[in-house]
Amino acid sequence: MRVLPSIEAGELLPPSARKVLIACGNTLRGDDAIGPLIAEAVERGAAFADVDVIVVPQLTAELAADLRGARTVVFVDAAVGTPPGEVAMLVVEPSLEPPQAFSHQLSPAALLALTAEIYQLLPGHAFTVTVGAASFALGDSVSEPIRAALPEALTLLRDIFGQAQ
Amino acid sequence: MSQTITIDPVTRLEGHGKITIQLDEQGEVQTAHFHVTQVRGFERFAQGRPFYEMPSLMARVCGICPVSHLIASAKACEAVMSVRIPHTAAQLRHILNLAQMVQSHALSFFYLASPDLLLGMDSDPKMRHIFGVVAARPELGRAGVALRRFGQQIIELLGGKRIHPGWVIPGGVTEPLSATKREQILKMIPEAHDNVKLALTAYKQIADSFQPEIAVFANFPSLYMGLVNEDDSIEFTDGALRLIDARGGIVDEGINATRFTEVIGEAVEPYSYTKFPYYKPLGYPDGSYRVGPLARLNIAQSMGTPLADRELSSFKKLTDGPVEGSFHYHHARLIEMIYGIEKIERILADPLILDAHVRAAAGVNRFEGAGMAEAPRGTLVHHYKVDENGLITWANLVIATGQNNHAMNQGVLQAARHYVHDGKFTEGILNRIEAVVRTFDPCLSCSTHALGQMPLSVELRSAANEMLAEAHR
Repeated sequence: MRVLPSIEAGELLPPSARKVLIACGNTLRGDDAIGPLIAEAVERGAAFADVDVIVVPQLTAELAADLRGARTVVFVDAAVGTPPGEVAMLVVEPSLEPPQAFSHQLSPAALLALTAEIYQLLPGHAFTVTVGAASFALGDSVSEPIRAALPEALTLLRDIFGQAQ
Repeated sequence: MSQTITIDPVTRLEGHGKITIQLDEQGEVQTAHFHVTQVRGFERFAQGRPFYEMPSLMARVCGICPVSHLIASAKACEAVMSVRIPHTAAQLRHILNLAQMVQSHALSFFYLASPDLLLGMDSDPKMRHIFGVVAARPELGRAGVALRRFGQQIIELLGGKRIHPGWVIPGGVTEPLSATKREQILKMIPEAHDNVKLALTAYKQIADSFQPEIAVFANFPSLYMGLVNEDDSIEFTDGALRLIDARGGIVDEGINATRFTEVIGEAVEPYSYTKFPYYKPLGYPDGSYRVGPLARLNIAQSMGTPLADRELSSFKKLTDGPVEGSFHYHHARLIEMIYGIEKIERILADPLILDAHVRAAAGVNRFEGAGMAEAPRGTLVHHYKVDENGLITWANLVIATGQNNHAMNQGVLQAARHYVHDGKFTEGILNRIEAVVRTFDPCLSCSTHALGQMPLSVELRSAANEMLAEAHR
């Protein structure tokens, strides 16, 4: 079980225990569908009954309203540059560096920064969970390494959301 | 020596475009163009598909206004089917269309335009974006984000997804509205009203400081086209089109989707992948017209809802006759958002809104059909031809942004001629020329979808702008 890093003293924490999963992906671009696939499994899973699930093609500024008051946020997406099927978790800190070129394609860090700026609230824990992709070619099915990684990704999410109290 | 100023890319727009400004030997503006530089191809790759697939296919044209394409496409299919959809389905589509309009106008005003309006046209480009607005005016950043979410949540409740929803199909919609969802939407209304009111108040406080820009931002007489009801009130989903002239006189009216395809032609210019629609009886370019919020408010005599009607009355006092300055598109958008929120609440009070009969069924009864709706940016028309098996043999989309294409180009030229002299310009001047295009809130991804024998020119120039080689197709 992975241990969540502790949050620093002095940060403004939301009073609620809301848990939010934001899954990015396009179900018509091969392995880019892993985000929506994970979201589907989370919505079906009893272990995730208290998780708000949002599926989007990309991160846009108005998602800040969905992160408002969230205690734990996990961004799920396919990854390039990592071996197909490799599941990775990273802690996300709010940041506007590097500068964002598009307001309709924000990074998780920039979205967190925007949320903090607008609502003066910072989610207590924020992570990305990614799965290495083999192909983003047009198509409505994912590759075998991606599909095989689904259970590991879900186990990781159970750890993250299960520890978040 | 003559010089070309290129703004590439034009920022804070949907899609990809550039502006070129050609100067003469004295450094004065000779010509200026707004080039749309992307090609999509939807009209071509839709050929061979079953007509009932078209709404969900065509929704993928755009991520901001997919609902407009869903509805116009479904209506074109219904013309092929020769069906009239149930009243409840029409009302539900109307709610979906208005929700999209609210969130799209929120994007335009808060994310794309407000950095110029609130921070200034000459402000630091590094801060001239939504993050800069949030830092300077966090309450407006909150309002913008909330209004986007308002519209997207309604779309998600009705259509299953915030972007590229389903639910709208040929014949109606796939399922009725539940009482629970109606209550969820109604609960969101008061906050939405507060947020638009905040934005409109802020806009009115700063609008006067932009009189110099108002005077030269695509400010000229033109024709205007938009949907109206029989009582001259504004309409977004049904009704018929009216075309008025620069004095407000009616040039043509009662234009349905079929007649639209007969009276509107599409010209092509070599510098853009977007077509240039025009009213055929007046020819091109004299028959060019503007669509969208400014046109709709110039045409409609009422909004039909109390708060929006009050604002329309003030809006129409800006000038005698139709409001010509495109800068006022920003103001018109805010009034339409007020209307959208009021109208959604009013439709939800329809005693039949929870009715279970939401779909009509039929096959191919005609081999050609057209459908239209008001997208956030203006009139949208889908026109299809099918074979006896219902497979698409031909498709044409006439997009709002294309209908504003001529005005955008004229506007860019007008502003460039005003601001650029003796070959000199500042970053703020270039931003102002971009901002002309932003007033129209163009959707460039929507507007370029034809694929065919596109002319293509490739030029190789030296650093001194000397032509070294060129190739043409």
